Amino acid sequence: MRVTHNMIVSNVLSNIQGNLSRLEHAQNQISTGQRYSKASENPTAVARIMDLRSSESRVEQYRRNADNAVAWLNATDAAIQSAGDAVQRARELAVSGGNDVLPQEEREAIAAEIDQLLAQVIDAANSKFNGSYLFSGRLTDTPAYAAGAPPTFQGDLNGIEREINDGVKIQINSAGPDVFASSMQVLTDLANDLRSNDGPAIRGRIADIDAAQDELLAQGSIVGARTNRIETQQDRLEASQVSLAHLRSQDEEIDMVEAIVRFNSEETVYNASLQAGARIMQPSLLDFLR
Amino acid sequence: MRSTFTGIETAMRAINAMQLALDTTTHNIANANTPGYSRQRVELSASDPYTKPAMYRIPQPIQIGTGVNIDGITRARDFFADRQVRTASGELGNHETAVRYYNRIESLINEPSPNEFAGQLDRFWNAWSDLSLDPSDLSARTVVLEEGARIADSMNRTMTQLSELRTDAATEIDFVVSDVNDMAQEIADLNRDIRKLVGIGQTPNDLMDRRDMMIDDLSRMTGASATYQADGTVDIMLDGRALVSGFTTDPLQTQAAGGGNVNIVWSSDLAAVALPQSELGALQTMNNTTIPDIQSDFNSFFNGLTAGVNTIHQAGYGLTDPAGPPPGRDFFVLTAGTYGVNPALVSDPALVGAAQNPGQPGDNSNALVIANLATAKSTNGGTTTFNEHYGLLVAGIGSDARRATDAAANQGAFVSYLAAQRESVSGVSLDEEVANLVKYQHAYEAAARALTAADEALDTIINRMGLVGR
Repeated sequence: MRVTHNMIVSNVLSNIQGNLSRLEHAQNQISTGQRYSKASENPTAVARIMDLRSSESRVEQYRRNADNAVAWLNATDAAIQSAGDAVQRARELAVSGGNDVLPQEEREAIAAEIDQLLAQVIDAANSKFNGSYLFSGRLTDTPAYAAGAPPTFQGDLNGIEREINDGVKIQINSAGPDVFASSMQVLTDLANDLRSNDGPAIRGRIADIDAAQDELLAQGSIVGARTNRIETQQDRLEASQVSLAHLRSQDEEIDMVEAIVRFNSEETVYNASLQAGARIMQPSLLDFLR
Repeated sequence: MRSTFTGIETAMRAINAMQLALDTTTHNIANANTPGYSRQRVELSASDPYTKPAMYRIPQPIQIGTGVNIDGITRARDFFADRQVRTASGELGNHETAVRYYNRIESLINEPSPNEFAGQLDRFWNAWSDLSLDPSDLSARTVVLEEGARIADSMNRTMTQLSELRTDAATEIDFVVSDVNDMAQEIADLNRDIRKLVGIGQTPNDLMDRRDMMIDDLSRMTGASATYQADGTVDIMLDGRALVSGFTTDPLQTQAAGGGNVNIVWSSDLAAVALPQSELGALQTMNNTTIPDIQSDFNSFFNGLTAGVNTIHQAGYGLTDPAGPPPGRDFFVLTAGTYGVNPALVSDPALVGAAQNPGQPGDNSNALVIANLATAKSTNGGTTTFNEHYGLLVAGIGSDARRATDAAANQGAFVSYLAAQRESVSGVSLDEEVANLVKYQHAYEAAARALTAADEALDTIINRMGLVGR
């Protein structure tokens, strides 16, 4: 084939252009750390990256939800503990108050302490987490109980849920009456019995107090079970966050070593094409005539 | 008996011929880098010998040559290569134009980037999930509204940029059509000039080069093909009809079809032109098919998304809503083709419907249902989530763009190969021209020396003969 200078020039130019564009692409990958900057570079991988990224962001959100749920449950547990302490103290007082050698004034004094314990239980029932009343159902801006004998429940019995994984919702709130109704009732009754100086009735309350304690324990263990369940999910979420990030980085991020090696080889090719081009474009017959 | 001055005559014709050859070589060198130029050659032949046999001519024992004849100046041109290059470059123009538009579509989508629409959608769902943690928190409600507004902005930006792109395509169609008509007119004018010169026996090489280059451009732009006529004119055929026939043209024009579509029609009878693969063809496909399809895909996705959120939100109650049926507020609104967040919610974030029951500030159930749209297969006929649907749209555009890019690269390589073939025939090689320069210069000098020799011989005859004894 007859070869002209223009053919050489345009060949050299288009080859240099191609090499430079590959060099630029390699450089771009290194400087951004990203394998793809446009969907057309690998449509399937890009769709996968978008999918993985969205899963990752969701898992992060679930972890946030789970942390929030655990904090809520811890606050619930603390409230139940505090009510439990009050009821335990009330049991001790009931035992000593049941002793018939006590004079009326002593029992009055004990009744006053029981009133304080009832107030402690009400305080526990009106605990807040992040501005929301824990035991008011969905009426989170209303205190669960108003003082009274017995105190009156002002919330509702609706559940509040947290979503902690795809399709995994868990109820985090305990209904006030389930937890505190018996305790409050028995404390109110005990105070009344003490004030009416009724020894047998006072002694009879001990069984009721035990029942109320059992109820608090049962509610406490429900909270514990929920916490456990969430913590299991948290482990799972953490694991899947790690593996999602790993999967995404496989698709999305370049292998630096490989990229730098490729960059170097592209650079060598580019330099070689410049040198070869410079040498082939320079001379013509004119250089050698006379 | 031949003339005494034959030698002078022969040498003079040689000098003429060599001078012409030198001038032509110089012309080639001068145009070595001129686009579309084909190298020219002086065609030489030995002139008729003396004597030529004829019926009543007394035959001579010998025939003597009379020198060189200039037959003409021709250009080196391979019409088969021309046709191949033109057909292939129409296709290349088609793919390159498509790539140009796909690049713009891809850059307006700009995925995969964590801050573009897919990421915003993730953050929108997360904002609802955050709201479910504390539905009475006004700041969480405000975040939901802000993320919603960001999504609405992105949707509006995408739709606006797509329609701008379509407007650009329509404008470009107008430009190209007007260019095509100008070129067609110029080809017709060149046809006239060339026809005249051919008629008086000349070969207007440079005019033909100019016309051929214009035909190259025209076939890249429209996919038209050229038919060379015996009288030196060229007819330009497009879709089976003549765009240029002899000295006349039948210009193209654009015609608005419904819904922003543009038809390209013949001016003479307004019949539609079915364009082959070419720049103009690609632009028309972009404007009439590709971009509208993408627009309608995005439009139905965005409408599905906003409707999906709205349906759930309508069932929700705000913090201050009284008992009774749900107030039925939309979350997203579409006013005059622009998406936005319901202004009633923006002015009072308490009205965001996070609850499914009135008067329960801790009710997060509706916020959870909306947050669940992140994973609910609620679009594409219930087969994908909104995020997956968007990913499919992006991947679909990506693979179309990739196909166009690959096709353009392949076709580009093919066209360069064909162009090199053609250049191999028509291109000016400086080495060759310089060698010719040397060759013709020597011949010129030799011819001049021959003239001198003849002159000296005549001098001998005229000035020195018959002087004996003077």
